[in-house]
Amino acid sequence: MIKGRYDYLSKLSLVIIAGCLLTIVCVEYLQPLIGKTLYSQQYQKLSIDCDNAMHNEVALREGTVPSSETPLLSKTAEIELMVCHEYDKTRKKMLVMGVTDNYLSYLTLLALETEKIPVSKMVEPHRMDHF
Amino acid sequence: MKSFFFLLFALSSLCYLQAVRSDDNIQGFEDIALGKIARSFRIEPLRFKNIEFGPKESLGAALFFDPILSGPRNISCAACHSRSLASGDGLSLAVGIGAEGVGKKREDQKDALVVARNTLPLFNRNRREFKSFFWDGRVQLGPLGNFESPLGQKLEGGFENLLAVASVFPLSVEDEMLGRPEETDVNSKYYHGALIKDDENDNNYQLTTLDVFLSIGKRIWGKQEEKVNKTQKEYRVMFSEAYPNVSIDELNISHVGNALSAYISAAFNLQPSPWDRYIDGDRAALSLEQKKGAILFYGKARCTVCHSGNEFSDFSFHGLSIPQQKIGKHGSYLDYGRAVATGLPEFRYMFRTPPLRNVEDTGPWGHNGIFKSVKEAIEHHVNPIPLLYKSQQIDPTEKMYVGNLIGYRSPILAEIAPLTSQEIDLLVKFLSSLSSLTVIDDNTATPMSVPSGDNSFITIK
Repeated sequence: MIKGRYDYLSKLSLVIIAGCLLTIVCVEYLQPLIGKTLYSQQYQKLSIDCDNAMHNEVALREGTVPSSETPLLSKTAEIELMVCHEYDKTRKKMLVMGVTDNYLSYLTLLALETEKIPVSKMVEPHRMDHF
Repeated sequence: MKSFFFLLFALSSLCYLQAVRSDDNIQGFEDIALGKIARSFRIEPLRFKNIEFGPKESLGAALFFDPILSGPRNISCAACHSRSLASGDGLSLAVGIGAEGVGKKREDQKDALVVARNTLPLFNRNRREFKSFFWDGRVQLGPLGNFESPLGQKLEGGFENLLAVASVFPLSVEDEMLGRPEETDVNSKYYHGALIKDDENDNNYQLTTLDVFLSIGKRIWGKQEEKVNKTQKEYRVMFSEAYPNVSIDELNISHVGNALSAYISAAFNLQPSPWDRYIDGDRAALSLEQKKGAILFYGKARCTVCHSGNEFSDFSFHGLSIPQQKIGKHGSYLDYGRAVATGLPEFRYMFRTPPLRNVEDTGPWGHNGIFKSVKEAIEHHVNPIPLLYKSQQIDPTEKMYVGNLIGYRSPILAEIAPLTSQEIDLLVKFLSSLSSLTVIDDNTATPMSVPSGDNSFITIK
């Protein structure tokens, strides 16, 4: 009787330990892996699109085409900038799935290097003029 | 062991489901973004007016299909504006005097006169957004809402709207409907049918045009004091029904224009398109690809800067660096476009932004019909070099004009963000959502016969 209960408890504790280990494996390794597999490419594209959008928005806001069309052009650039929201969402989603910040930075650099865009260009539009 | 694998499988599935669920949210992004775009650009759905087909529209229909309006009596408006070809002719360049039939068939006659511009469609031309007509806008609304045309101050009063003014000008263009002034053989298919007087108004477009308009009137309704023929009798009845308070001797070209305008307004009035239904709240009216294309249209592709408003045109003039192909109507086979209409050289090679409703059906595209697909036209907006290069390969003299053409390219086009081929495909998909049928069906819009008895341009019924 006692032996039977002991066997049952030892099996149960094994299953619980295995479950915990599995959860750790899933959360720490499997989920980030899925995140990387599913979103890396999309994230890289979005980081380039967002970077372009930010540059275009600044350029058009400052009126590179000095004409009556400038306000409309500026508005289209604002619409284009919505892609940055998608970029942010994808970034957050990957972070939630356990992809590390370092890996995301690596992906961004990889994307920028692929597109031959200097990092300074990527960083500049993020600088705030004042607090 | 089995339960271990089951647990592993369950957890993996959970992780995957979480990812996929997030993807569902991304799909909803298009609707959210388009909602913001609609508010930002104050986009309203097209609401069609129900235009009754009354006596004036019937008169307009008769005039539209009757070759009596042309000098040699061998071409009507319907020859190049066919309902079965999206109110155009399906040709790169219109074929005018000397050809027979409707639409593409007109290209078969090799000795026919080619009009060096692409036929514009007639959809929604009654709408107030249309503040300029023709590729060069030579008929347009003035700053005070007055009608401006090549006739200047000599334009007859009585035109009810800008479309009415525009609709009579093809009658005065030699290769379109008038005929050749130098042709004296009355049996020639290029003969102007005595609409042009040889001895007067030489080289004076305004006086010649006024004379042509007067002669066309006499041809249609005759003179009060003269004996009128069967055709004229029939037209007199139609005019008196359309204009009950106007006597025959008070009729002039504006009454022809107003009737043509009434017909075109009724016959080519469009129903709302899937895009209009979407803007009206029907989220299923557009496919996901069309929604993505719409976001590009109003965003990084910058299309809406010129293709704005409910008719998707600013009715203004822009240069696209389109190869000349030695088919222009000015000088040495060049087409200076807006510059000739205004007399202002800074408008060289500029043309009116084409409206985009039903654009997928109105090809070939461009002022000289150089684009064989909508995608090709969009690609040229983004990058004109391949087409300019290709045209030089075909005709080496084309390279003489390339610098000039690029110089007059709209600076707006330089602001188009880099677009991939897939994104251009999405734009094409979006443009397909601007297609819709006319309010009036073909049978209602097509007369059974015309008073002159020449029914060769009536292709339905």
